[in-house]
Amino acid sequence: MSKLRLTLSLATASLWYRRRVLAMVCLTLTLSVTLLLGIQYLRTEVRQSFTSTISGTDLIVGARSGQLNLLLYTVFHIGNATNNIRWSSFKHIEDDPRVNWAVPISLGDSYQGYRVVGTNGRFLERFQHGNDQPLKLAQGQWFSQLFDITLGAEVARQLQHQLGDQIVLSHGGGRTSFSNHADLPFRVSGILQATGTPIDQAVYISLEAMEAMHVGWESGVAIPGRTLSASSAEARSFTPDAITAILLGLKNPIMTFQLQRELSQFPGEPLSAILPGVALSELWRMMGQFEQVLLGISVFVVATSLIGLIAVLLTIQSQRHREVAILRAVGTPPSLIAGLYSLECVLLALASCSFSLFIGAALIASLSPWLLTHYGIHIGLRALNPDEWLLLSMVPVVAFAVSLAPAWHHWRKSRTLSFGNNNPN
Amino acid sequence: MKLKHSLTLTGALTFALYGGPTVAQQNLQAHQHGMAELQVAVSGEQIDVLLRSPAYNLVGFEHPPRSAEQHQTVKSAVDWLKHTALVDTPQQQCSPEQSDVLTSWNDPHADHHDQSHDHDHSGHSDIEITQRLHCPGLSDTNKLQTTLFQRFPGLEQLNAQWVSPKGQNGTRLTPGKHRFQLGR
Repeated sequence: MSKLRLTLSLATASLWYRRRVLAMVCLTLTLSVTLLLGIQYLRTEVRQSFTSTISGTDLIVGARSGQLNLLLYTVFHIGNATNNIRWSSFKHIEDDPRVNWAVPISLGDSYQGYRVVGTNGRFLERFQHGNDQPLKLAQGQWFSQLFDITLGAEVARQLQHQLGDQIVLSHGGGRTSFSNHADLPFRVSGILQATGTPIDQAVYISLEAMEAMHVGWESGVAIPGRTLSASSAEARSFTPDAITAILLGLKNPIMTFQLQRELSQFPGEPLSAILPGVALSELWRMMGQFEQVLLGISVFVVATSLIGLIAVLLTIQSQRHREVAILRAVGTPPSLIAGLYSLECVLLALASCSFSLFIGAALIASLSPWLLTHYGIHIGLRALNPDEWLLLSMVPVVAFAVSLAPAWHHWRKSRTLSFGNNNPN
Repeated sequence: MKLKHSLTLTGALTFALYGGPTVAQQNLQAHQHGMAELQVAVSGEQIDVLLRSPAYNLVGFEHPPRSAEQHQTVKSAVDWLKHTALVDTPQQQCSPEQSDVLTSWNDPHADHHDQSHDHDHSGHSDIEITQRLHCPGLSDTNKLQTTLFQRFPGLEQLNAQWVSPKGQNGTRLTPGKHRFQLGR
């Protein structure tokens, strides 16, 4: 026991004596461990954030197409629908006894490059992200009048819109559309809270407004005299002919596959139904390759700094020649001297690990609000998961392993040591 | 209305994954040797499983069995598929309560639906198995595994999808990775 305490006190004293060099080594190691840990942490978080883009929705129904295409245009607002769905099909599916709720979605127009999503009040009630978190309004209300519009958090922030602002939507997609629905401006009725999902990057209007906007646009441009004025539009009622997609929630999710299969055989028109969770995991499988590469790179960075650590230890070995000689003279066994080496390495690694934990936590805590507002990525502070602890604990283990080389060297040398000035190397 | 028709059919069978006969229907399913589809729906202690595979993966040929040996192969495969839980907890607590095996060339449900319906003999045949499993102790584990790869060496890849109270997910199972974890 006293031997162990002696070893520990000797090791710390020795470390303190060479503190300048070792501080630099420790800094390198700390930075590289922070990088490794940070990448592993972000990997898990980004994956989590990505796979929780949509939750609580059992099926997404659209025109016949591949599951990734359907997922991309309905949830991520990337790409376009191959076809529309008839309104009668929507009613038919909504009336199915297994369906708990159905939310229609109509896409096609844009506002300053952001997608316009035509839907109804159930979208706000039913759309969930993350761990079944519902959408919330940061200000105002969800649209209730015909020409009300609700903005995603990012849209409101980028374009600096306030409640009550008048907005003119563009016909078709793209930032520089020349055909605007200028005669029917919308009023901002509400702004959603930031979610860190593509929800933030879209604006929401009612299906009826979507329909009203396009009266007189049958040929693709507004024909003067055939479009509606705001007052005449409000006096009319609109039923859409077609929508782009349907989000479905089932009474019993166990029926998901059955309904999916029936919908793909839907007699009215060719439809596809996808399970958003399954489609997300397939998309992640395709995109997730490069995160492996990142992790691989950071492992190499840590390996490099550990090699740097041995290099430094070997370099200062010659300086420690006398220290070792004195230790030997007072009766320290060679094994203890070798042990000192390993202990030093492990202590350094442990110090680096705790520093990097501290730095990592501080970085995440300070950057996460900024990341959410500027990039729409939600990364919160959480306890490390077992994988991350394993990765972190590998650092002192590997440090011990690499310390064996100089330790063994010392053990051998210290057995045949003399008090001369001769270089042991 | 096809949808209505299969609704009543389903009601009668009370089988969550069996949504009417799907083998050789008007819309052709993808058919790729070595690959199969596995759908798993979990609710409480009950699991509904559907496996759809080209017949080749399970019996080694796609035509109706001709020789006595081929009949024997089909019989033993069908027996196994009927009496073995297609997915199981690592502690093997699942047992089939109900199973149905449907082959393109010998449709045991022919009397349930259109008798005169003509099979599209394109040269490819599928086998479809639906099971309802009872798994006491399912709530203690969230891992499931399959022994299909051991029994059928012709099967190389299984596109598994599952829904459970913990969410939906999917993965690709292979002989080296025959286990998956429920949840998102």
